[in-house]
Amino acid sequence: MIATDARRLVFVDRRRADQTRTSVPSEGWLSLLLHVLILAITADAVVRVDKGGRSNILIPLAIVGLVLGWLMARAPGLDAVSHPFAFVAGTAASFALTAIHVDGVWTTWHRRGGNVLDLARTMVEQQMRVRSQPLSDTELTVLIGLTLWLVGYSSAWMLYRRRWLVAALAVPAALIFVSLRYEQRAPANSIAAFAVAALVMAARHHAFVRQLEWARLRLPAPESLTYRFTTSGSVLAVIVLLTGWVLPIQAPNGLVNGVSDWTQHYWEKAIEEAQRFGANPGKSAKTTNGQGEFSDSFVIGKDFQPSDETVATLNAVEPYYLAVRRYDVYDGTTWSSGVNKTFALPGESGASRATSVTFTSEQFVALSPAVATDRQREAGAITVYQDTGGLLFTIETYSAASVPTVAVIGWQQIPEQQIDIESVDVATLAMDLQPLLNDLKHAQFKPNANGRPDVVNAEQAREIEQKRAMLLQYPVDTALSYDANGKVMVTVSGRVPNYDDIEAVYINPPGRGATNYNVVGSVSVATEEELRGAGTDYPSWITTRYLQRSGTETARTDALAAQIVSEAGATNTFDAAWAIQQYLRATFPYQLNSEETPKGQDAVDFFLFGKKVGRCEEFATSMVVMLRSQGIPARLVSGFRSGTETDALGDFVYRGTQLHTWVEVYFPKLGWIAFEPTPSQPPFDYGQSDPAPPESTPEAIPTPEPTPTTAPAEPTAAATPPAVPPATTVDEGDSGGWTSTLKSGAGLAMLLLTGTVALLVLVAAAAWAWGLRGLSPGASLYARVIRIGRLWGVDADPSMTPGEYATEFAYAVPKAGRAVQLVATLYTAERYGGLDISAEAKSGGRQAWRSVRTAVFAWRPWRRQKHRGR
Amino acid sequence: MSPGRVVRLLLLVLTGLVVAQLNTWRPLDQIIVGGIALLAVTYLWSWQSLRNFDVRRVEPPKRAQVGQIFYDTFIVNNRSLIGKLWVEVRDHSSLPGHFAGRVINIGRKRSTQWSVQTVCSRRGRFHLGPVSVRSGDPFGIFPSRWRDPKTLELLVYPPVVELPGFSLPAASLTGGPTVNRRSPTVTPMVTAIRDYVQGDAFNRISWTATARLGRLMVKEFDVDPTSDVWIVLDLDHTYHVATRQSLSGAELDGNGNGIERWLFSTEEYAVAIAASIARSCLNQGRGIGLIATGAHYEVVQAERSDRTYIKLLEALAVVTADGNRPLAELLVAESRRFNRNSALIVITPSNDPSWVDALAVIGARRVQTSVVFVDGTTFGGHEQGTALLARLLNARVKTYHVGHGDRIADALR
Repeated sequence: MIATDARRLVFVDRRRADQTRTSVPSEGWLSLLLHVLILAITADAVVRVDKGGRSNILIPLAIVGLVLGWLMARAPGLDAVSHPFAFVAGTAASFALTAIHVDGVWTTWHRRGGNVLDLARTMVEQQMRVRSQPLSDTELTVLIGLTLWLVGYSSAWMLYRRRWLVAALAVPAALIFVSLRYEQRAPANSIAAFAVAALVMAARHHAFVRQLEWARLRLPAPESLTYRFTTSGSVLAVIVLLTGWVLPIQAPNGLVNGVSDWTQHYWEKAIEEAQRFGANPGKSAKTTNGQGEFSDSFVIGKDFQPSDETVATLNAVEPYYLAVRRYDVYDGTTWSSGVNKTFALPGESGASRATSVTFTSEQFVALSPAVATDRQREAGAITVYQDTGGLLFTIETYSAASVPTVAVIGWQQIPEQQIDIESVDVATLAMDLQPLLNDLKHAQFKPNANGRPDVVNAEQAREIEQKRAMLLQYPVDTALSYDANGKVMVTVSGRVPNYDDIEAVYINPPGRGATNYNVVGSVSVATEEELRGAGTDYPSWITTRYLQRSGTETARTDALAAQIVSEAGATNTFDAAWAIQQYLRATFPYQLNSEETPKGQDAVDFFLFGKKVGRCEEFATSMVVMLRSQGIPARLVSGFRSGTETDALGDFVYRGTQLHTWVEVYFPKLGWIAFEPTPSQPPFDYGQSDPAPPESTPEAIPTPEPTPTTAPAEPTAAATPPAVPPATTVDEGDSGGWTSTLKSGAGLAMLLLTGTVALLVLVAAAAWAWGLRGLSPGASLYARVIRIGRLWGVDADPSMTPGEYATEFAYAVPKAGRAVQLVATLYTAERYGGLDISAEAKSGGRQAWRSVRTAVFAWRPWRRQKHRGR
Repeated sequence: MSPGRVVRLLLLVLTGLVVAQLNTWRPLDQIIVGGIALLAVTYLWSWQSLRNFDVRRVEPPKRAQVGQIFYDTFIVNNRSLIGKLWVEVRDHSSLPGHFAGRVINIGRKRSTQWSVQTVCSRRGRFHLGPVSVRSGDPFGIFPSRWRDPKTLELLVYPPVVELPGFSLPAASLTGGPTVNRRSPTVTPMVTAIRDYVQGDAFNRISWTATARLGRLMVKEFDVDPTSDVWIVLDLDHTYHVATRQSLSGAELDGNGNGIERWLFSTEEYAVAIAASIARSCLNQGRGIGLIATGAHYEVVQAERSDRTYIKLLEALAVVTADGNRPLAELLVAESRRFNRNSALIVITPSNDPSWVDALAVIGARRVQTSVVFVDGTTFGGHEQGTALLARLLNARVKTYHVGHGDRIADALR
């Protein structure tokens, strides 16, 4: 018996073999399912960020795009046909599903079709002209849907047509990473699921690629290998996942932390240098301690593009404003902190940074009665995702935190004063003096040899001396004496921390990455009536720091403030502050970025009488300046406004777009009370004992006529004020999420699209040139032909000779046959004949290449089908 | 793995660790650490994938014949404590149709083997091996491979078919005087003794006659009363034609019939005919010689032993139609080898009539000639051989016409 099962030489027609495809995916159904899962995870990540309730549209769009890409990748169609078709189909699907989403599934097809047409017409019309209106929710749905469709399609195409696994996974991976940067509450699950699915798919793909090669080499392989690859890949994926998720990521030793700090130090110095040269003179232009947005000072009204990333979340009963820093010094264009000056004793330089005060975890700040009346403690759990230089987020007036902190605090200068020990009310003294005075109050004295009082009890005397020694470190000098009536007096002079005047709080030591802590704030519950009756008995440290004027304020600003207060009939601090707040809210529209203050002009004056639009810091600055002009102490607070967005856990989300400044006004005994002059945000409520004063209307307080400035302003500033935009309030972007960024205009989207296309073209050109570098003339020509053939569906099998490939090419594009044959001949002569074909390549070769290019781009499918079917 | 790649990987890992330490987004840290873990695990996987693993080829026979089955056996042994997910054993043999490689999945401390049966479809000298082994991790990140450069040689003889109806040309058989010259052949037929001539082999000395006559005497052998047959195999590339017809489905029957369907060129047909005629001659007790005119000029002296047959097959196994010497010139040049005691069989696809004249000259010397004409037109050639056949007919040369697909036994009947 001779060779009944013997192998034989079998010449198989490759084209015939290509036609014997079955409906089973080349890589198996499991790979397709994993791919669907990956796209679903990606779409879910986008939907989660958006929170627009579009999951019933976007996820199906992504999956259907993937399936379409899979089908078309398996069909013998050309790239040049498939891609436009996919784009058109994706656009149509996005519009159609959006229309269904808008009207529901029960509406008529006629109406759906009408809505699709209306939507398309609206988008096209709006793209035809420059507009500043944001994208509507429906338009946004169409754009995101189309994006996800194209991601699914391109991913499938790259995997099933080109076998580019990395590229097929990189596109959705990039999308999921970008999306989850905005939603950092629970990204690990999505990334973990994505990683596992991607690794399992990679193992299956590798098995498939290997099997293709084994089939080509006629190497029989066990049928179970695909299954074994899948299981092995799954096990490795789980190991990798557990390693990545379980291993301690933070270095346990100080060495790496030291490297980190060292790197960060130089990085911050580099940023500082860059900013010094005016690279980014924005809100943090004068960063002095590397705290980013909450630097020691900032210039008002510089261009500012807020990030949409999540900065922090708050678990509390309501979405409080989160305060980060306070500012007291305004110089006409810049806000800064004057806390250093409070520290300087006479004769000392005020340039040194104020000594900070350290608090242990859960140590409460002892507020004095001057600020603690009618307040209650409110707690919240804060998770910080964006490092703000270690600054602690506080709820109104800071009380305590669950982590050790360092507070930048104002200091109270104590001029030499004599205190009667017997009659003094200790509670009215500075906190740090109270323990000493309490001890002195309970001590008995006897005159010593110098005629000064000594403590009789030795134990008490030792404790009193310890407290005096501690006070001396501030320094606070204390000396006991008898007055003329024989009463024991203590003479005090020096400085002590003013715990009522906390400017900023830092976590001690600053953490890296997401930081969780609980914070307790002292929140005012004073009613409006109580605020009206608070009076004007301001402590000296209040008047010193928070009534200071820059000298740049114009007379017309002060006149306007006086006019507002007068016309509102305000007779107390609260009504005056309320009137100014309401005037600003009702008169000026909000605009995130507007004209910058001309050099030499006061920012408030320019805002009130010049451009008349601005953002929160201009409203708040104006209110502070106007209040101070009326003798009302006020300061500027920067932090984050509240929003309505919550995450999956119900915590309130604070994003970069919620960066905000507002005003705090001091009321004796009631402390600092917040006001909101920015019209894009609702005003604060102040208890319900009395009805709120009626909202002032623009008509009630007319805009004052410009008056001559006293500040060193440009002479023409008042005479020729810049054009004022229409008085329309622009939404600051309350919806949150990246949608707010996209909503900045379809023009931006078009710009991005154009830029992306240009970038892709550049990358493609670079990739084209990169792949041809270093090739000999013949090899370069042949490589070009192979590339363009691949684009047009003529793949070069590894087993093909150049001549065979030329024949194959001629079947597909008959017009290019002769030219391709010439290129193949040149390449063969050069590669295998060792001939120098430089001259031929320059003449005939290049001409042949141009002919190939022309013929390919003049391709007609019906002609190609004709040749295919022969 | 090359040192450069190791350095690049280490740099990648170090960069990842630094980024993981400096960045503040924990998921990115997790991905980086997971990626490093992936590299580490897959590298270890790949590193062990070919450790304690060997492949051995069982020594195969060194000779085979077209149509025979060649058996090739591999034994692989995994001495490792860890199983191998996949190992690709690839044999780079040059024997056509011999795909001895295999992809295996083997457990720990296991051994396995497989045999491959390949029908030898082409004559020639082929190498078996080298063998390359390849494996790696499930993701294909770190491939690992090694190569065993050892090779073995296999010589595949041309096919031989029985020619039951083929009548060998008869030559003139005449007696003759004893020739005082060296006898290159050994036969059992001692016909006379003669005086020793310098150069005679010692084993030819007849010691009894030497003792009797007092001088060295040697035995004189006589050849059989048959004529030698010379085969002239024309390998001038000018006239040889090959077809590219599909050989799919070409199978042999139980008796090896149908081998002609594997002969896709005039060259293969000619070689197979030469081998078959040689076998037939030897079977009939005729001495056989061969003159082949490829690029390498091949001459096998006419003898009639089995050893000669092997020499003929080994020569025919490697000859190729790469010569450029016209048949007419060859016949003229080699005509001295042929005498009236020998027969000449010319196997050629040449339709150049000029060689017929040369053959006629040889025939005029009473050399029995015949021609096997392998018709190139049936293999896709364009030159008609009608004129040649007519001239052969006129020259009264016995001619066999063989076309593509013809059974040789029938054609030479």
